Amino acid sequence: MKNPFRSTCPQLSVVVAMGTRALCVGALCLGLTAGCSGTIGDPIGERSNGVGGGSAGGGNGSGSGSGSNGGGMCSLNTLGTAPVRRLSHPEYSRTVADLFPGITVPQQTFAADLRVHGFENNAEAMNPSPVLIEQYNSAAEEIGQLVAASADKLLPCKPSGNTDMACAKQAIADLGKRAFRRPLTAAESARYEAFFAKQMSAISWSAAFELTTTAFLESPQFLYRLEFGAPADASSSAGEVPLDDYEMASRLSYFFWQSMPDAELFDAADAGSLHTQAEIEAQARRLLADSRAQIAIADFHRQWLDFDRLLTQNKDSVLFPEWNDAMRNGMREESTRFVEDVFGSGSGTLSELLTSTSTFVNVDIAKVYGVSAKGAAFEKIDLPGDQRSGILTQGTFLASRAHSTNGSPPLRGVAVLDALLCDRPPPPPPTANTAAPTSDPTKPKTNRQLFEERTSPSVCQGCHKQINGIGYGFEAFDSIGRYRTMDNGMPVDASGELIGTDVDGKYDGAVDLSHKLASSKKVEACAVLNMYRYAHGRDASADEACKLDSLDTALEKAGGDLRELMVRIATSNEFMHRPK
Amino acid sequence: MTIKLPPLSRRQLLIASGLSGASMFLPSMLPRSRAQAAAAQPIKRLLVFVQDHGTVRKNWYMMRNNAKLGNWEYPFDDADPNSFSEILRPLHPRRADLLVLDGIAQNSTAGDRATNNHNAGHLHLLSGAKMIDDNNAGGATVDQLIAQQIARTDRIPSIELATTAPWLGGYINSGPSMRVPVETDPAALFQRLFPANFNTSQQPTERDLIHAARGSVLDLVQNEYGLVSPKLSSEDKKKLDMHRQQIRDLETRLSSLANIKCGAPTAPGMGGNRITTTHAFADMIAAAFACDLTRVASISVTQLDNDEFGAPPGDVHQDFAHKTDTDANAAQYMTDYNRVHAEMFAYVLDALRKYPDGNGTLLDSTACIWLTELATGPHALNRIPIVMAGSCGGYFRTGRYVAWAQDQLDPGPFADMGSMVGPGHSRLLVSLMHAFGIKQDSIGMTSTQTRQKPITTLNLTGALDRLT
Repeated sequence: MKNPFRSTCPQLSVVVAMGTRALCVGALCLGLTAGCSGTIGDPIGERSNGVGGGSAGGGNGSGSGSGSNGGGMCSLNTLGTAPVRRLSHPEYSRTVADLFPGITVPQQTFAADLRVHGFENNAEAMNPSPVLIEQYNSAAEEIGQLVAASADKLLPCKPSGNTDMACAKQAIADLGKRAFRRPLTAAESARYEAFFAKQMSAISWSAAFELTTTAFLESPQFLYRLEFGAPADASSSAGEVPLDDYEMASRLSYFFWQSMPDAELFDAADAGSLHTQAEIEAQARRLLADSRAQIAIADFHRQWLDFDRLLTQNKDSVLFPEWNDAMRNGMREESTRFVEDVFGSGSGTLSELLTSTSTFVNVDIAKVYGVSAKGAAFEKIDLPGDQRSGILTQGTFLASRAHSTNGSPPLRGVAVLDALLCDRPPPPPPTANTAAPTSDPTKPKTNRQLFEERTSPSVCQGCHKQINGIGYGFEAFDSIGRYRTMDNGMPVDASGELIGTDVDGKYDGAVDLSHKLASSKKVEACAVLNMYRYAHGRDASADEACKLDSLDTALEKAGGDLRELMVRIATSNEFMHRPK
Repeated sequence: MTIKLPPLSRRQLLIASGLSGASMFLPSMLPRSRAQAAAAQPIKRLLVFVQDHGTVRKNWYMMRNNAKLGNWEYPFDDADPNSFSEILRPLHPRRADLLVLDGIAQNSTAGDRATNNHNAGHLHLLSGAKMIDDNNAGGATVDQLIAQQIARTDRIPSIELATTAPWLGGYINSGPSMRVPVETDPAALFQRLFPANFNTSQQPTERDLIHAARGSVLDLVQNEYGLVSPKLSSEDKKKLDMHRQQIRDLETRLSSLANIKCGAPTAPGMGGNRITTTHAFADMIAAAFACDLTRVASISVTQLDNDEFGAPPGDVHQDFAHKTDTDANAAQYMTDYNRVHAEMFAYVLDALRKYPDGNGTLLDSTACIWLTELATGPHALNRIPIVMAGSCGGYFRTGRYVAWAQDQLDPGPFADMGSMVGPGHSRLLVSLMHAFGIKQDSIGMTSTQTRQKPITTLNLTGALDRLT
């Protein structure tokens, strides 16, 4: 199965490269007018409107099974860039927790990194800033002090008196290896030992340990994932080198756990056994089986599907007096637990994400689903299958894409197009009225009717036919995500139409819509693209289409299990090598 | 465990051993003549105050005799508070310090039409630069350029504050797509600016000694960055070199700051709303200016909650701001919304006036400017409401209402009052840069073209007339 983004436009590899929707209009964007043309210059993700007709959606026999090539410029063996990666803020906090087991490190506040396509780990966008450096310094000092106060829990030796340099050397070798995620070089050891010795004689052993710990936490070897590669071998093409074992261990642990390597990964790196695909696959599967993987995968979804958007939503306090911080946080927690469950005990598939009828509720959010809950603890429940279907019918999505008074079909439609179909429409023109439309009390209308009226001019229809065609599917949910059959005294109409996808056609309601999306190859390909961005900490460039195609094939073979996609990424040439 | 204690007071200890290094710069260690020369140079400061949403023009402007907009001005010579508009009345007591500017437009945004005016207004307001995309400004903002010009390397270059996490990451950028993180927590700001003073009468404890040794941690770490960076690709190297430089700056700053005794304001309490947060920010900025901890500060007041300006339930953005032209109630709520900002801005000015400076107060040596994201609730970008305060050491002639003729073809069109607009706001930003000695005649874009026929090029360069 070829990737519907790429395989339907093979004759236009330049189109792929330029990432425009407009250029594909003639062949693929039937049903749209040229009015809805995207921004030029975005890489792959937003480049084409994707599938027309059903040529790709139904084309089960078209794929070669491995590495089908979507464009002439692409080679599976040509590496993309590998910019140096600073720990993202979630990675920092998990790394520190793993580095100092048994010590409770308070949550640190860091200036937010720029999000690119929703992701907080885009290496190119992560520039240091004076405020961030100051915050790193404060965090390192605070953590250093905490660690020194509980040093006996961590030290490989017990310092005797205030001059025990032997124990200091052991501490530096041990903590340093785990902080730098590889053994210290002789020169590094010498520098940190000299520093320790100086502080030890000026103040005390404990003070020297504290200051050295602080220094480790501010060092480039800790804050950045520095990769230099191993000498080229049989597996590496020209211009690239394989990663060394420790670099590979970090790539694996940060991809699957958002944290540093554990003891087993260090052991494998020590033994030099992180070179073959088989070895790496075994490790990847081991990491995936750990609950830390579910937490990290849920965090991938938080970024991809923008759970955080919920936190800034305000609702009309007359219409929704129950809306408060506890409900906001509860909904976000619900979605996090749901994803963890899908990837823990569930099938790990997009299909389950989009069609599951189970979710998690506690007392803060139970009324959104019309159920009762006992207390603050979340419990897994089943929801009516004719009302709810997966993540798009949860409070997090519905309440964060809404106006304060009612749901917003455009916001919901755009969110699906952007995150799930990688087909973000351009922003509304400056003259567009983006205020929530309101009904004249003498002539009551449903929310849908108001939006139909608002977006009826042909200049709007260019985009809104497609946007609202998705957004109307969620009309059976109000501004905070409660199910409804009536809106403003009239029956809800949640029918819609998918346009410009591989699963085009009419549907009725969010359950039907979610099932259609779950069967879409375009949604699958969009998930692949986003996982690729996250895995490599960068956007996919225009000439990487075939790598994505190959991953699409892998995902399809695995029945849509995103965990298998992750294994496939981890064992790819791209993941195991870097440019020389 | 024995600690050898040097015979130094804690404060001396910090100076001597604490944050040592060749690059250390302490005013007290300067040769006398140079220190005096530095003191003789009058210090100028910048305070930017930005609000989300626009104004309600009919309750903001202060035309005299129903004059039409033109190149005219008048002095604020009327002692009657009612001579000020409903929105600006809270500033009437400060009228001698004000420059109220009427008729300027965000003309540079015409280059970014394919976007919502919120994005364009937000990202052009302080940069005048063509946007990278909807969410990313195309260049450094004026406050950052001024900070580069006037900041002391041993002090905090600028402080960026917002009352809550701001939309688009805030208004402040240090370069294209490089937004400067903002502080939203008054307590964290207090901790950063006014860490607990040391008791100089006691012997140092081990904790003091560790604290004092932290400078040597930064020395060690800087060296590590220096050793790693040459092994990297040029892009990666740039990033780590930047990181290293910022550690160096931090060390310089900390060593200097450790030696300053500031009269700190009262520590801010927990909680509070946008108004009390703004007050706390203002008090701390004034104290920081007085101590010369920094010379550039910005406060972004994010969209007020309804109860903060006495409005009934409803969505501030959609139910009120967007409807100010069509709904009298909405217009009154947004008038209140803007008046509350005038009250906050007045508080900022009063906070600065509490500190004597030279022959006047800090307000006299500061250029304060209150800007709005958009001109009006319904997204106009022409005739933007601007209030400046403080003469910036006598540079600006205050105490006046200054208007500009609407004699340029609207480049958007983004006006809501006919097809003509006044001078571009980029030129006001240029005026600000000139006030601080930046010899540059443009910021961001240098011109923009009208979309209406006849296609005309609008100049965006050169300082604005009649401000000095």
